[in-house]
Amino acid sequence: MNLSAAKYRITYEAFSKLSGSLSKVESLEELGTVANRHLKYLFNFKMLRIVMFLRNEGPVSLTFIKSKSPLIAYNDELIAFEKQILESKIPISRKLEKTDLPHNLLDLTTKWNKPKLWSWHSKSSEQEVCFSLVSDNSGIFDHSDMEILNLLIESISSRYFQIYLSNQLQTKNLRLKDAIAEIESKNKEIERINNNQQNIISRRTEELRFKNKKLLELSEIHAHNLREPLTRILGLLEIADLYSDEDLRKTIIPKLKGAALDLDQIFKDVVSQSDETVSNEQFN
Amino acid sequence: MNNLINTGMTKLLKIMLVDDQKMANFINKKLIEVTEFAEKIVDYTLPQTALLAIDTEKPDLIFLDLNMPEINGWRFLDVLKERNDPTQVVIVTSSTSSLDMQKAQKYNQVIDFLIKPLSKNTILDLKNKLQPAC
Repeated sequence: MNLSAAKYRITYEAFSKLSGSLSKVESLEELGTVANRHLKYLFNFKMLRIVMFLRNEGPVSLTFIKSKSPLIAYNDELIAFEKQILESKIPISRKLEKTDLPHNLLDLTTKWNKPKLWSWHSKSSEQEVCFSLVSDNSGIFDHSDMEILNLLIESISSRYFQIYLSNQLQTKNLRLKDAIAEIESKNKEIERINNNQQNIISRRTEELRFKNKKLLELSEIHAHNLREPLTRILGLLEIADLYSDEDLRKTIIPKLKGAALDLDQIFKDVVSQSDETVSNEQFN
Repeated sequence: MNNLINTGMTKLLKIMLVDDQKMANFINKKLIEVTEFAEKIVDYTLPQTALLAIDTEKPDLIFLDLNMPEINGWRFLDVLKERNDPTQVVIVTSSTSSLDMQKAQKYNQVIDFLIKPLSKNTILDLKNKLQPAC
């Protein structure tokens, strides 16, 4: 077994370990940590930066610096060469300029020995990825490492896409739950309003029934009681001419007066009952 | 349907007045006397007493008021019906309600429905209706 074949085997073993671990991660942060642990076994680098674009989301970046914790940024600001490659789609391979580093990492260049920048672009139906690598003379990155780098980028970006989809699904599920709860509460509200309406209707019906009864009572008073004393007065007048003047004065006139007083009383009763009905209505 | 009409009314009538208003009985009695509608008149202000007296008095005709306390005219008619007493009845009421008039038609023994006040003419009309030959 020659040296290059041995290197190749070791690298692939390292990569299969990494992709096994990657399949278990559930957040971008975890993904960054797991990838960072394995990167150094795959190829030489000083810095590896991956910027992913998902659908309508802003750019998400993962920046790995050798021997440091990975940096994760959502809606990250793109570096000038990244903008350039996104537009031209042409890979870059040149001497690293100071402006090629993120603002917070500018001082790194001083520690590197003739650093070189590599940058590529890839696009699938779901996402677009721009990935860049810096290496220096202390550990050279070369074309033989490209294959493994491509595999790595594909693994990371597709895993991130899965995490993203599962988060979206969870968010949608939560929204759905909220919506269902909202619908349930509205249903209860509607039910409450309906019941209230029902109560009002039955109360109003009861009131109407009561008023109708009162009206019927009043109309009965008109039919019987009110006319009764009047018929006595009219009846007495009917027989009045059968009496002598004296009998008239002694017998009929007092009866007339009695009947007239009864009639007066009944009128008063009718008025006070009507008043009562009206005032009940006002206070209800 | 009407015994009094069918028999040609050869004998003189005996009438029972039932009205809780004493004055109404007084007036109607006077009108019956002056029109010579009946030979004998008995009057009651308490319907329950009148019901008890029917068997002994045996009136040919009852003048019945509707609006009375405790036993009203309808109840009075129901009692007659329960007893199978066929005594004929003329309702004499101060009510002008058509409902009352419709209700009265359900009783076979009610031969007339008169609205107060009665007059000599109403009594004479009734007399002619019962004694067409005179």
